[in-house]
Amino acid sequence: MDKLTGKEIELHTKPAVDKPEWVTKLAEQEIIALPEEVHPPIWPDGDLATAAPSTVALVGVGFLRSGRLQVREAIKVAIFEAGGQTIAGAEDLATAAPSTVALGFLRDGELRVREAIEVAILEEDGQIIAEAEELNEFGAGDNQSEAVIDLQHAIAELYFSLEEDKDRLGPGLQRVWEVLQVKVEKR
Amino acid sequence: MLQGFLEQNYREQKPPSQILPFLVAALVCDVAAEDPNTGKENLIGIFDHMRSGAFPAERQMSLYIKLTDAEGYYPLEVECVYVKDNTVLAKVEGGFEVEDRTVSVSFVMDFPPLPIPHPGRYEFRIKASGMFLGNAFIDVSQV
Repeated sequence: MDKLTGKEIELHTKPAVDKPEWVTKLAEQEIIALPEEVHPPIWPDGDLATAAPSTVALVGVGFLRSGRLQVREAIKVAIFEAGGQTIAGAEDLATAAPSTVALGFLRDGELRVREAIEVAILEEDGQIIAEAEELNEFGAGDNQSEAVIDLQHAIAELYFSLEEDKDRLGPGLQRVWEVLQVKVEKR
Repeated sequence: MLQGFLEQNYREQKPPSQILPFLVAALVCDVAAEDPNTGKENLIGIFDHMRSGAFPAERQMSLYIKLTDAEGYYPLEVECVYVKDNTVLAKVEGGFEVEDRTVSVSFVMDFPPLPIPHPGRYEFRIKASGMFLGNAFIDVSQV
């Protein structure tokens, strides 16, 4: 939390008098905190229909508000119970860790991804690894986000370093540089 | 089951565009309202950090997204993820079509109260045609 910047919302708990004991409404911000015993696991069998009547369930929300867009189909929002073991039982959408990410951006103001970079997400010795095999580059972190950010910086560094040495690259790095030129361009 | 439902809906769509859109902005706010006179979006209460006295908590919020450099049909996917263990707390799926890549397009997603099981970082991961375009985050701490 020491890296926080930007605006904060301060919330202060204030027990609500006219609510059941388990509901704590936080003053002014309309956040409701539910103890786990009254927030029962939903999705016991991974079936959305079973889960729907529960406290947290499927909600349909229409949300496009742009005059320039054509809405082609209804948009659905699914809300999942967040209690560890329960989520593991939910199939499809609640499977949290995708094994690949098609990376469409680098955190570098000078570079733009032209074609998505395939990134494999792996776990090794308790660390998450994001690996771009075609670039022979990887990033690591305590979670997927950190690993992907590390990889993004690594790819940007790789781009600039190969660009600088592009006339004297060995065959391996030459191949990587060719892939990079297809995937990434300077703004 | 939901996945099947969504896949069925997408079956008749055009092939997803592989032109990578550029994510101009992704902001989490309390309310996003359109001015009925001008059509302009008003984002009220933009935040990236909140505090709660107890967990699990819930909070209603809106996500504003602005894209440019898009052309064609894109399935759109936004996942709200608890970063520490990569748990997906909410997922939005839809689709949009843009004819001219020089214009920008914007979306507002009004989420119902989202579960916030623990303190930590939560991300809204934005994907178009399966391509990860960027994210907005909120950091949640305990009072």
